[in-house]
Amino acid sequence: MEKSKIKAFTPFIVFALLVVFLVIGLHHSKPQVPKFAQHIGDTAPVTDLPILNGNGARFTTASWHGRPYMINFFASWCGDCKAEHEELMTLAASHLPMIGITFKDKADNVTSYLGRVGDPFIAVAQDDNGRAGIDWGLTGVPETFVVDAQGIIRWHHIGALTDDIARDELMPLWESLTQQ
Amino acid sequence: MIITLGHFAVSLALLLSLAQSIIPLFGASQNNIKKIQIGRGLALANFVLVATGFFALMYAHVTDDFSVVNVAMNSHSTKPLLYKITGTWASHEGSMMLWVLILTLFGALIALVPRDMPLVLRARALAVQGMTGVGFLAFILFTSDPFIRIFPAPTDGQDLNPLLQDPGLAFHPPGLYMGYVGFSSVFSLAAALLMTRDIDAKWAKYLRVWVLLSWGFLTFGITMGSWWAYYELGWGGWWFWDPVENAALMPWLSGTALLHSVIASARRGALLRWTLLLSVITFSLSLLGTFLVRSGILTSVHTFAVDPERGVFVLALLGIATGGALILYAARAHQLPEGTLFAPISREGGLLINNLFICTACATLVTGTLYPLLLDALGGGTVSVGAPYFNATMVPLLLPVLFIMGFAPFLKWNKGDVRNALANMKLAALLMLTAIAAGLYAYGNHHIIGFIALGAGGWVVGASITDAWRNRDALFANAPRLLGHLGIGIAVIGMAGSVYNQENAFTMQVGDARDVSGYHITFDALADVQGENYLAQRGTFTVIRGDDNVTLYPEWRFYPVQAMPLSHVALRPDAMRDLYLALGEEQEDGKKKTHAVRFQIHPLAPWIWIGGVITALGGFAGVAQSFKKKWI
Repeated sequence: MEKSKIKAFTPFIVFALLVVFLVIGLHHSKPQVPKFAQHIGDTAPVTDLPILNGNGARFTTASWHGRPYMINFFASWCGDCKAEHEELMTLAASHLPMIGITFKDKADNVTSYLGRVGDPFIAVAQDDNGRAGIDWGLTGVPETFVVDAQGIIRWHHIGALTDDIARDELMPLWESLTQQ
Repeated sequence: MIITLGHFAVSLALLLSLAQSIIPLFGASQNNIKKIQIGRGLALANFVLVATGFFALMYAHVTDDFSVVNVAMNSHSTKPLLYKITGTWASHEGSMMLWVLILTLFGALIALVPRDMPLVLRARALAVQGMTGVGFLAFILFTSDPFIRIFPAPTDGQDLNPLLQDPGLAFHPPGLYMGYVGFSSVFSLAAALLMTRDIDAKWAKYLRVWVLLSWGFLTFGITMGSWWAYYELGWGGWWFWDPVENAALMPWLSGTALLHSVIASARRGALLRWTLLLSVITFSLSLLGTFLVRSGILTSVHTFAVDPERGVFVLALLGIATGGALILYAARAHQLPEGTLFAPISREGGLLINNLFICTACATLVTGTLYPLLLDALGGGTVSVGAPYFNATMVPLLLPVLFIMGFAPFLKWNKGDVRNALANMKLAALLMLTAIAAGLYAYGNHHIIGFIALGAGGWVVGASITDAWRNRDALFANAPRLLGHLGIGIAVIGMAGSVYNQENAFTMQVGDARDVSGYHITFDALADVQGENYLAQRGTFTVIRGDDNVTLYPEWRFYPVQAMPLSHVALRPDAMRDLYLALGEEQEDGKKKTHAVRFQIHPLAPWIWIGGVITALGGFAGVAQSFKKKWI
């Protein structure tokens, strides 16, 4: 090729490099720090959702009254949910009762997603249209809540769970809730 | 019913956009007038369909239809009507609808407005505009559908973030998007020029009006956004080098460079390749901005709920559009006509040097904005690049531009004469020295950068006045340059003023008086007031200096639906300074109830926005002129 022809490709090559970085950056990006909408101390909203592959069984917050539990909003299309999944599996091994709520997702996708990465939840409820998400004040997925035996939200985390967060915040709280 | 109609209209627009991106291309290559005309009809139809969808969504917002998720998440029955209307584009989904509305509007304008543009060029531009439409309509329908319903509908909504409940939301996003997205028309035409063989070097003139129109709106939108941040966000600043602000500044800088190179191309047939490359880059930077904002990849005050699927989608669109256009450029650049040559000291030379500095500044800005991302991608940890970097790099790059822009209009096309041009700079030099002297007198010699900027602003204003005087018989013909340069000069003087800001924070209770920065402030009264959808404590303050006596009413507001407090600033602008008073939350201090008070003096601040608006008018004057000159 002539020199001038090669030169004409320079803008494209620079741009292609930029895109590569953006793709990497997208998979590295940190969850946003919440600026408002904390619901800690509020009563957990009344929620009644069908359970995934549950043949008509339903998840309700009322049926959990008297027991502390954790709710994890997630979706099979969400990258950060995949990132925190290993942490959820670890938590499940320590017998934390976790209810998963799928946010704006399809049952087939969720089933195959959980089949692939493992199912840490004792039940998965489906929030197909995002209505429960509105009630719980979601800003996105993943988000995690801890509800105590009296039905009060005690903890709310926006973004992926990590070892550090589980060790420093979630587990101490959980131990205090179960000792009561 | 109406919302279903809107959903259907937008879905249909996706299909018709697909047709728009194919049929006119065949029309152009087969020289088939009928197919080209079909392309024009499709562009019009797409605009009407997207507008139907947009206004259906607006209708749902205005009538409190909480069965629409988008309304339930962003509105509330007690929200004032203005914010129900502007709330249409306050959410991600709604703002993408506004994006596509403007995209199809520009498609319709390309189909309707040009009178002298070769049909082949127009057909290809319509096709490219259609392709962008396909991408973004698919983005809306598959990842950001604003028409989703819920059943049963909630009894009320979650309300809009109070920060967004401001008249600024009515002007800033539409103005900004008209510019941002308007550059799609420039992109489409540049791609069409690259696709067409045997083009005339001066055909760049068909780009000019679209560049001016988009650039004028972008200037206006950025000005409005800066004003909004200044008085509503209560931060007391007008520019923060926030990633999202940078996202708007990047296409503005490359658009400014393009604005100048397109003149050289249209008039002299010079710099055609450069003009086409800049056209592609400018809209690419708009897309990059959309990506940065919509993916939430960079932490910013502007990002709310984000979802990575959207980021991947916009990135793919950016990759296809820009990548495609740059490959087209690479394949065709060497076949483009060579422009005329010009002497280094000439009007074209001045435009080129200006381009060089502005593009370097733009690249610096892109680098700084993306640097945290690049470093993180390379495993270098998380950093944030802030104002110190941008101030240290951007200011030295943009100051020379100000000196050149005062001087260059006095150079002749093709070959200029420095001595002759310098003879015209007497008033500019005088105003420069006056501005520096005034700054020294009023504020002392603390800030070297303040004088330089004041001097540069005075220089540009003086040069523009001389330029206008010399061209007093042809003001309209020179209006874009005269207004554009004058506005920039005025805005720079206003920006220079911010170096001398005085900021004071203290606590007061009702009845207190205090002397601050030469002003005597009295906290006269505090009252509880109720707004349409908020409760507030409203303070009454008297601020006195000499004969200047002003009463200010800052508020501490509380929005119950979102349980969010917000400080509503009281501002008193005049020609020389803004007085700025913000009231904090009530504090129990023993038995006393005190309030944090921030009192700031912003010298020359109003000049920033006056200058910005004048600059934008320069762009619009150029649009009016293009019609007269048949450069469309």
